[in-house]
Amino acid sequence: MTEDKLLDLKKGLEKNKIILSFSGFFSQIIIEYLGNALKAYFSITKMSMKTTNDVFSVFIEQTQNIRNYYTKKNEENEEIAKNILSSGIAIIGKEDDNFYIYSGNLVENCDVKELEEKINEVKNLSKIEAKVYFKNKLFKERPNNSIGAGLGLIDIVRKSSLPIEYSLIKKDEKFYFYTIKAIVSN
Amino acid sequence: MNKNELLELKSNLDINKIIMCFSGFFSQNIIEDLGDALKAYCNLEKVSNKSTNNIFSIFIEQTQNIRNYISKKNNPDEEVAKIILNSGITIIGNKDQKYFIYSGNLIEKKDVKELIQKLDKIKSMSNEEVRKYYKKELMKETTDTLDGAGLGLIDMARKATEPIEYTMIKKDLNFYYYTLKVIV
Repeated sequence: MTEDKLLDLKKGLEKNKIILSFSGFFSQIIIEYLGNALKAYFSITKMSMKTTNDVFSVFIEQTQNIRNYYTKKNEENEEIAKNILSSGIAIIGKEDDNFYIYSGNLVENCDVKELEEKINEVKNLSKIEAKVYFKNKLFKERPNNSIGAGLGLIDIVRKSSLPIEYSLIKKDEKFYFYTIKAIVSN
Repeated sequence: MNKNELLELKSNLDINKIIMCFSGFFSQNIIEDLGDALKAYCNLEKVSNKSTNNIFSIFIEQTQNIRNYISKKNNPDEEVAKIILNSGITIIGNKDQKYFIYSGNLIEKKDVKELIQKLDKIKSMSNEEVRKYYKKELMKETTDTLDGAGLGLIDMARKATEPIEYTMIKKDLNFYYYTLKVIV
């Protein structure tokens, strides 16, 4: 990578006000350390506890969702699961006075429909509706073949001050790239 | 920031094989936590111990240099210190079986000349010369008055597998933006 490209990248990071980004395997320990760094950053920049906790927990939910999806896929096909885990990315940045938490990962073709249904079910819920929905779901058992992401997703909706945004882009015959963005107001 | 911009940024990170980046205030805690995450990553990727240690210590060296640059300044002007500390960035990536550790921060115009002299001196040395120079400087026990980058820089050059690269770009009347790239 040449200096010019790095400077370009740096400009891109600055323009998008990126605080932290990480690409690759989200192991439990990596999630924890990055989460700690985020907390330390918020403590130094004197953010309120509420903002800090919301950003932190959305970050944890998003990255855990990648991990959980990997764990489930790993039982079926290790090769596919590996592709999924190493495709993970998380970006935390500032947008106006708010913070955005963005994550992305590959999703297998066969799971796209279920994921999309789940997102659309909760995407437009108000904070209060999401809270009620979350509580109801907590007591329901998860179907065995579920791809997960249910509860975590609602929790993200609950903490996001604007409707969550997502995208699903076809990558190849096997995979889609899925991204989700939540915004936490300061 | 809209979705397209984020996807663009993501593909930019992908193309450049970026593992991790952080911008902003480098506190001691943040440096430690990011360093730990980096180690955990190297561990998962089965990077050799030697490379892991080199990547880790260069990362620490670079980010500490940003911190030290402020703390070692005489009569630090709080406003200036804040501007410098907030300008920090670190990017770690993996390309062609090599790892690059890149850092950037603002530096005051008056410090540019001395830093460039140091960098050029180190860049002009062979591996062997760098090793000797490092040992010699270790014995000296003098504290660096300007930015503390002396020994740290030599140590990075010692660990690097390719010559270190730097850029110094004028930002405004008071500041330059300094970047350093080290490859392991």
